[in-house]
Amino acid sequence: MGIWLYFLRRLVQVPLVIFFVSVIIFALMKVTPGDPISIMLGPYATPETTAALKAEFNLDKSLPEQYLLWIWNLLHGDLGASIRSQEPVTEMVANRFPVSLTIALMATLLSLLIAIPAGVLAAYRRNSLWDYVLMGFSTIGLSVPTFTLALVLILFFALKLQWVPISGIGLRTLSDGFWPFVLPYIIPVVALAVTTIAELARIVRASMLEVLDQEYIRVARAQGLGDSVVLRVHALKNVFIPIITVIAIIFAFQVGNTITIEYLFSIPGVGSALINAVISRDFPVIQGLTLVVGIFFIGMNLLADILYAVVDPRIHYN
Amino acid sequence: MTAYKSPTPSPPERNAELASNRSPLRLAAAQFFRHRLAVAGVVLIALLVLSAVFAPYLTPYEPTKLNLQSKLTPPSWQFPLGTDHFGRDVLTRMLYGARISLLVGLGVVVIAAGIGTPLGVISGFFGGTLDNTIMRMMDALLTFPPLLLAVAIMGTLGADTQNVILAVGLVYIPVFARLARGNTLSLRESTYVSASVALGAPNWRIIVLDILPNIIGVLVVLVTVTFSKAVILEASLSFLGLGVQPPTASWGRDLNEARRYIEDAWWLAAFPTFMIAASVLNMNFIGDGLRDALDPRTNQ
Repeated sequence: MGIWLYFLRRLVQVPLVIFFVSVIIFALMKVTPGDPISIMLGPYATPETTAALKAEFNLDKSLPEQYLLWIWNLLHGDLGASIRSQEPVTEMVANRFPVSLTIALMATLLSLLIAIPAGVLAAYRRNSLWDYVLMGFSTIGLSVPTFTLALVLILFFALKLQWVPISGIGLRTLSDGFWPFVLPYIIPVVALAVTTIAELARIVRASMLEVLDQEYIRVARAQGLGDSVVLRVHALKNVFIPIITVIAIIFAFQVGNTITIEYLFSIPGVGSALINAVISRDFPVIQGLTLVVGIFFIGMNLLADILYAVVDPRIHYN
Repeated sequence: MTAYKSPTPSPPERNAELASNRSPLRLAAAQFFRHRLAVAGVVLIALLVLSAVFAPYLTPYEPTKLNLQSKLTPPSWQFPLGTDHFGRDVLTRMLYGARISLLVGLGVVVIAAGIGTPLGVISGFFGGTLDNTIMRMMDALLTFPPLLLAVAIMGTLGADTQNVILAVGLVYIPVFARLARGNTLSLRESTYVSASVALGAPNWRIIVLDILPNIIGVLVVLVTVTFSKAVILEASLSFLGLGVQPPTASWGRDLNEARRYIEDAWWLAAFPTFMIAASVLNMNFIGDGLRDALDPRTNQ
């Protein structure tokens, strides 16, 4: 019973957060220095055209009215259209979001594959050489920005060794063969994964340490159970609780981190669209993309909270 | 023999100290200096700060003056780290870039801690609807990954160094607010506060004299972490062209310009990478040392 009340309370907070997110995005657009109309019209700015364009974009109405009109359009599925290309923002999202999501998903899976064994190993053999080496790599991984690592990887693996190409994501399909399709993904995904691996390995190690220090582990060992059994049956299960809850958040942040990578590798995702929109001051696109991405993250946070409540049997909500 | 070790007890030095009568500050300092990496970090960062401050005296070259005759030369005696495509000495650009990174880091921390901490303390102390509203606003900011939010803000404000500080500072305000609020909440129930309330102290006095001194420890750790993240964010923003604008020297910006020449001029990419990584790494070491010294919950 308590858990359903918790869900309800959590769910009720969501609209409030979405409201603040929309206000922030709206405010960001209104704070822009310079008049967007004269920027758009350039040399064609006469009093008539300015007034006409103002009316079209509802800029002649009061701020609260503009906000409400924007929200009204949103609820009807209209996110506006790019000033440059006239492409509706909803189409942009539909085309580009899956690309960013795929890259983020691949990076998250890779991180899990590497970070979990690394963290478990580091915790199990704590303070040994393994521990220091692994945590050393983790510290270095956290200190290097993603794009910097990507550049270094490009320098070595693409240019000097010529093992992988630099660009080409989305240019080939699976019918061209498995390897040619997958190769361009390798450097971007690896670069993205590294920071996450570094953080995740630390988290896994910390929770593994906590678990291993528990009484029931000692009891199991006192009963004579061997290492691998203790590990598999008792320890790993409990380590997974915090990991599962963190996964949704990690995935969400990966999507955010793809920005620099998309820029560097010319990947047609949401991140590169946002950068182009920012450079060309394409406000409807900035607004729409940020909003969509914001709602996506709110959803992921909610998912993480729900997972946490569901997965951990020790928590009572009243 | 099994590889599993039981939890290690705290070192005898620490136990002896804890039993002695030295003040918490001296204890923390002693613990901090026991970390060789953290101490190394402090030394190296101090070196970086000094080089940045005295940059004009350390190099005969200008970071922004073109010198097309010597463009794209590899490291040599005349140009220890080589030159870029405009003939500018890379070492000079690294030193002046340090100025920008350190400045941005400092500015960000001042804004984030200066605004976030009071917000969090007030929110936690007074509770109720005020707390709820403020925290939902912080949640709204926190749902976005830092880079995304910073890019969106830079898109509105326009790209220059000052706006980078504002944007990245804004991004980290909620982090400080959350931390301050959490600690304030638990401190509200402590005996210090109950005693002050019983003595009739006004709210502001309780906040300033009882709560603030007790959250400084965790705040300091967060400051170092935020500083290093701010340096990374500035580099990322400048790399995307949305941060520090040319011709001002910035490590991230130089990395962007290095892309075109990366095959032939490896030094253009290598040294900014090294500077960013080294600075952040050292700051993280300092942060780790501080966390161990100031956070009472650590166990090894």
